[in-house]
Amino acid sequence: MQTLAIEYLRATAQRFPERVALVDGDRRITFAGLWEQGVALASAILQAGVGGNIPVLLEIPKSIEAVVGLVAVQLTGNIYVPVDLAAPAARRESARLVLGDHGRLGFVQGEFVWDGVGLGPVGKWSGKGLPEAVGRRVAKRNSTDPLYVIFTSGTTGVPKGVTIANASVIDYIDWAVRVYGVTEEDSIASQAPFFFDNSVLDLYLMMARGATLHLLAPMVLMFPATLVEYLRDQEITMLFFVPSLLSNLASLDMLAQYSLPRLNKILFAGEVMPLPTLKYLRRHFPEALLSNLYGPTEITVDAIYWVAGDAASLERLDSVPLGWACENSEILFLDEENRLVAVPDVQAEICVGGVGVGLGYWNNPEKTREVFIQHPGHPAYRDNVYKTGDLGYVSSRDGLIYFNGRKDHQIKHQGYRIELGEIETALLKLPGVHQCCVLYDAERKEIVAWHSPVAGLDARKMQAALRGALPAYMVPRRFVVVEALPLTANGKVDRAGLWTLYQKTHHG
Amino acid sequence: MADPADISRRIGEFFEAEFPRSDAVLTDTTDLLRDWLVDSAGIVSTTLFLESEFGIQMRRADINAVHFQSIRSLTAYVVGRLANPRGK
Repeated sequence: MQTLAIEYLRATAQRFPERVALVDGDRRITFAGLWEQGVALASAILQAGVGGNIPVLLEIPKSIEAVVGLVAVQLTGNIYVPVDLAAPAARRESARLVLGDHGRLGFVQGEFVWDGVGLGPVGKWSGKGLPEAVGRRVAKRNSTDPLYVIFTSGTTGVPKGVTIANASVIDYIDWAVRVYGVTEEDSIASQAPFFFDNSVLDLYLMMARGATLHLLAPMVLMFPATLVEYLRDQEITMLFFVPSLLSNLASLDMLAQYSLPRLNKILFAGEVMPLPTLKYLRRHFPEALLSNLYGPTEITVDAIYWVAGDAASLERLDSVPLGWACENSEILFLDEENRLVAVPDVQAEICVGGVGVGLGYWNNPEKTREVFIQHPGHPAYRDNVYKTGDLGYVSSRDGLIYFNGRKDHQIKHQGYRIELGEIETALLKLPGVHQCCVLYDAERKEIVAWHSPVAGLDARKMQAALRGALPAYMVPRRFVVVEALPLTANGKVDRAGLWTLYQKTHHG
Repeated sequence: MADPADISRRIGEFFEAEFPRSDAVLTDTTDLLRDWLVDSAGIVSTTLFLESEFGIQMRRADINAVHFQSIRSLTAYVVGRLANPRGK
């Protein structure tokens, strides 16, 4: 029985040593090369001195070196934490504080760097098995040990480090291989940055099956024609994208001019898939597997999935379903009192149980207890379910699960999960801002901030200041100054009223 | 005859309205991809704007980093398409 996710790569490197594992622009690396470099780097890190089972910040842009790095971290018996290098330094620092004791792996001017010190030429491991020190570390690891920590937005401004175990990833990947029929003949286009958990499917399908993973450069993803030409020229067979990227292709009708005969598996997750985009894809890919996936970061990538039928069946839908529970996932619907709601068509909070449920938030037992709760149907033994905060229901019409909004102020923007409260917290830290409210204009896909007038701090300075505190995708696009925010009867900001007012001005 | 100054002004107004930035000044030569935070969705909305505003058909292969470099390069592209709508 497989214990650690890294065993996928070990087995595949033996089975398909000369197959290409990664394509990164003009550069490629084989499975043997990836394994040998990962082992050699792990040895070098151990010589530099590091304990076991600690989080290691992976401070390397998405590249072959980043994958070598996350392989090596696992082989040192540690937990990789992919870093968003474009995030402001203050936000990255607050993530470091959350982690406590941790290591840092970088790649600077052609050299791997451990905790700020260059490791020198790392080379490749060419021996049999593993070096003794690495082997000892790997042997100590259990399937329930964490594999990675990925940070998500937190309302207080402190990001939360979701911790996922090896066993959860193995269970998820084995399921995905069965459902999607991935083989060594597949070429997968990787869109998700490594700090976004969609990347877990890309990375471990590659390692598990010997498929080739193409690490798409930002400029390839930026321009629809460049993207489609890449998919065509590289004969990509499978992709796992956020829906907005696929909507871009539909908006410009790219597929009328470009044919992608090799593409046969199109997976999407991270935000709501618009039904017109799905119909567009089906029209141009009548035979391809089109699959919607759903799962917050706190779950191992996905807990619900759906495979789209033919064009006629899509005409009967009002929206794209989330679908059914993935194997070994359990979907529960709970009311405000955490009681089970088992009636079709009745909306309640989507909660997820099963082996994919995360271990909690790193060093944050309070937040963990809030949302990782005891399974209400299994009071006699420990069995956590994760409260997603998403609302949904099971339709009596087709038995499928549908998404129906959020119970709080969390949004999905450009595929990123954002707590609007975190933006409000950052705004309130600016000198003189006493009152603010942040809302999301889903139609225009932009974040809008209202705030009280501030002497000496105009919108220009405010936006610049927020860029120092928040990732670019979280900085509001529009700022509206109001003398006073409208309040509800119980004294809270009247978000609905504010939104109605905004719609009248901006949406006619 | 298309007036490049007028085209440039209308494109600039579009960027100011659709991708407002209070902390920088937009000029004809501002690097749109590096300094104006236009993302992939912005590329799509800009394309659709150019097509409807100026009545041109933008070839999909022309939606690239060269033409989207700046307002000046977008203006040159629009002027070229208006002068030669079917040209390559």
